[in-house]
Amino acid sequence: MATVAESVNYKGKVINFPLANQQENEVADDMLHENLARPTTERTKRLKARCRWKHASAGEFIDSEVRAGIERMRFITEAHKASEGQPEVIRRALGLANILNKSTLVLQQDEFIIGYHAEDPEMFPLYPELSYMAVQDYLMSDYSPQPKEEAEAINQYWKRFSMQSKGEGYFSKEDLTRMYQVSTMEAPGFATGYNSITPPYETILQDGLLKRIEMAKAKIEHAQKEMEKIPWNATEGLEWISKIDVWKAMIIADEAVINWAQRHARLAKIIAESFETDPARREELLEIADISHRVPAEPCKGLKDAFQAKWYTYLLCHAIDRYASGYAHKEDELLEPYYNISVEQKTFQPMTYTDVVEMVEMERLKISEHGAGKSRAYREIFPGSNDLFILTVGGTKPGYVDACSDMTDAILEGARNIRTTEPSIVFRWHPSGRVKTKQHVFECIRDGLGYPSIKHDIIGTEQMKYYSQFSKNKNGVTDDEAHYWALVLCMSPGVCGRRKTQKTRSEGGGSIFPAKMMEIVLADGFDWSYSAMQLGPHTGEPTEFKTFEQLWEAFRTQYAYAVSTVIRAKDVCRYFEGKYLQMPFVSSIDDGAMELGRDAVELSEQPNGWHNPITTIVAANSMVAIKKLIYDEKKYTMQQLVTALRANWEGHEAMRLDFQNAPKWGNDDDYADSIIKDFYEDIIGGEMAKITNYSGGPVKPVGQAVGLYMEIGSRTGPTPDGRFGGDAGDDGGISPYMGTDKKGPTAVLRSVAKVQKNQKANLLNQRLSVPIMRSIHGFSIWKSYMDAWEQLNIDHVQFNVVSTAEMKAAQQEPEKHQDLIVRVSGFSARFVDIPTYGQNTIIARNEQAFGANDLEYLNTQL
Amino acid sequence: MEEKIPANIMHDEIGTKKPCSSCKWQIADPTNPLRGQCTVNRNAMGGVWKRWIGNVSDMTCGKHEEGKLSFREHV
Ligand code: SF4
Repeated sequence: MATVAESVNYKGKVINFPLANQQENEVADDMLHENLARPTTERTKRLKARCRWKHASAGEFIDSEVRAGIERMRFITEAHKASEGQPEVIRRALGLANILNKSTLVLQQDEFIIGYHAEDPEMFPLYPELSYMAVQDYLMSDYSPQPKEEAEAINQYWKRFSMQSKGEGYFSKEDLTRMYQVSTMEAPGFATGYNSITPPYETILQDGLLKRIEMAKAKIEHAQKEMEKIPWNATEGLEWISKIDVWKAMIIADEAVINWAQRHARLAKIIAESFETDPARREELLEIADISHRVPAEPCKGLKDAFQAKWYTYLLCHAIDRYASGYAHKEDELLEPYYNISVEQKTFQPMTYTDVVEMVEMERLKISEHGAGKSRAYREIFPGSNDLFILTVGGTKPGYVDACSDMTDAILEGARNIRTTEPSIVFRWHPSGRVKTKQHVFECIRDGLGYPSIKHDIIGTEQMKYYSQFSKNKNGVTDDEAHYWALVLCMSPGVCGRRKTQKTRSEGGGSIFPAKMMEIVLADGFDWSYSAMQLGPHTGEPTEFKTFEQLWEAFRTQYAYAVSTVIRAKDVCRYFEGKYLQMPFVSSIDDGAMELGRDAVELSEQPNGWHNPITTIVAANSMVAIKKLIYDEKKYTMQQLVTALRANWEGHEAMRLDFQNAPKWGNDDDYADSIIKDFYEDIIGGEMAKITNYSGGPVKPVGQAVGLYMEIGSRTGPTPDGRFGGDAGDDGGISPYMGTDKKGPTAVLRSVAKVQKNQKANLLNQRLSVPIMRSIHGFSIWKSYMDAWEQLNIDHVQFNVVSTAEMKAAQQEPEKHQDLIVRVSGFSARFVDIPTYGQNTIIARNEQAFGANDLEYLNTQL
Repeated sequence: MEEKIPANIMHDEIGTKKPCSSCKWQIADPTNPLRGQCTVNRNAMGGVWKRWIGNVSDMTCGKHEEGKLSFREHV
């Protein structure tokens, strides 16, 4: 029997909470998630049943069949050797062309959207041109590419050309050792290869590549005429050389992409004509062949074209030319014109709404099967999932007009029906957003998917305008363009469209870890608990700090060092990306790169410098406890604290409880919140604001956590918030520490709303009561919560709606709980694919019910 | 403040027959596969308090055990 929430006395009435779906009364609490999937068709049911998930945890792939392929690394190496002496940008294009021309194609049973990025659907590609250490880690693992000797020789060949070798030359050994540990700072992109991008899908769907090739040819012709002008002027004329090379590289890349898609078309046709026995599937394969023959060479004419062209572009930008995490696009607005053609007007590729939902489900399963050749650090920090894949829907068009459409609803309905951990979805919340779509958002959340996570539409739009003013070429987004944004990864917004999008994660995404900094501030910058080395600047013996302000400034010094070092590493990486890691295909579909003859990675039109403080609340709660117990009340001395911490609180339990019971973030407690607000605004955001990055703008904090809250916790000794050594950090950028938000959901909102200056992109994780959300009042309560959240000007929120009973049952019998999904941090995960400790951290989060006081505050109409 | 990690946790031993690299409690460093992390210290909730291993071939300790842990037992 399902649990039903207890009644509440509210506004003089007794409010009962019967389940919205009465049949659920018969479903046991601990089996709920296994009863929620409802694939739209038999085809998507089959595709889900045979999906080759590539979830990783603790650096290992869960499925033992998953392994690295060798084709990509083989073909890019072959091209690199053969192109010696040519301009680097041309070499990059030839590398891509060689991969696309020679790679094995994959076309699987039941698929409608086709294309894969390795020679076998159990495989993923590697990138020796990025990090030799990341490839070496694979070579030493159970999923090494084969033949291993060939892969080793390839890695050895690339070592001196790799981004890692280039970047390392500009940092001291000391700084590299500190960053590579990932305890106060994330390792540089040049050492990990980790990356993100927002591809300009719009041009490929609207123009097609044949048009882009014509544009590049016209540019070259114009440039050659300019160079031939008499009298010769070297100050202008020589600039055309690099531009001509960029345009030539675009043509090489685009022709190779068209050829690759048309190889897929031929394959589908051969299977249809020579092998397929089912007449319906034969027809479908011929349709698939027709689509891949046409797109992405030509503009998309209908919705099926758009899904396929988008998928090819995704594979190229995120996996084949270069690895990039994410699935950044404003999917509903991108597809809406083609939805209208195929569903509303039915003038090309006629479809019903249900057909579209099935396409969405099929696309989600393609993403679920996608393999990422990530370095070990990034196979550790998204436990229970594959990679970060996050698409964005909802929000507004210019003038804050609602951008929701039936395409938005189909995306949400497909996600709810098929139940996959990825891709995650972000919904941009605006008061003008239509209720029908918000109901779909609610249903996904209520069913425990953990997504959509919600972003504040106005805050995000204004952030795009803010960054625009720092544009180096004075061509940042216009006020209208500022409305067209999506999340690049978990939390950072970035513009979408035909130009100005973020092309590399060297723009943003550098993580720094305040919890570990707090630990070393109390040891003069020395890391006694993990690496036994000086991990940051000497900031003085803590026992000498006479005032709280001295501690505050010591922390500031550690933080400023870490932030500057991480962002310097980003920018050094970007410098070399522009010289050796150009992306001619991406350049060809970016209107800015095309117009200016500059590589898309090197060109920056719109700054987007969001960087990630993770585990801020452990440090902030520690500051509060120290101020209260040592400097205000003087109950303990700093010496006593340092001694207790070195003993991991052993023999000091009464003292630990005092520190643990000191006021904590998330309870609308003025003492704690005033210190923590300053901590965010003065140090976390304030120090970042002093930095100028590659794109000419200041950088801003985008506090999130991914699985790093556990990883960093495991590398962090005991902290003055009462935490033991090794315990997890806080699970989101501005989320209360697990189990410490004890005053209900609206007290959390009131605390979070106090932080306003220098930032507005902090992740807020909340866990809501299953019986209340599944009751007849679920939507009304959640909607009033969301409206209050919007009014409080909070940037983000996301929800777990999953019971402790079900999570504990899944720990006992994982094989029976394959569909149990939880929100870890900026991503959702299959619960049974998370290490036991990580599972426990999710169980330990407070499940928020809504009492009469909360309903009063929210003014919920029941 | 120069300090040393307590010797009973791990120590250098050039040519040891029980290197961290073959120990079930060792997991690779997130960035450099020639370095590692020791995960032998566990707390009540199952949390793992790691120690960094500067050289997985030439370091060891008395808790060495051959094997490999499942992902479930890591962080
Ligand atoms: S338990 Fe000892 S031998 Fe094993 S990894 Fe840790 S330090 Fe090395």
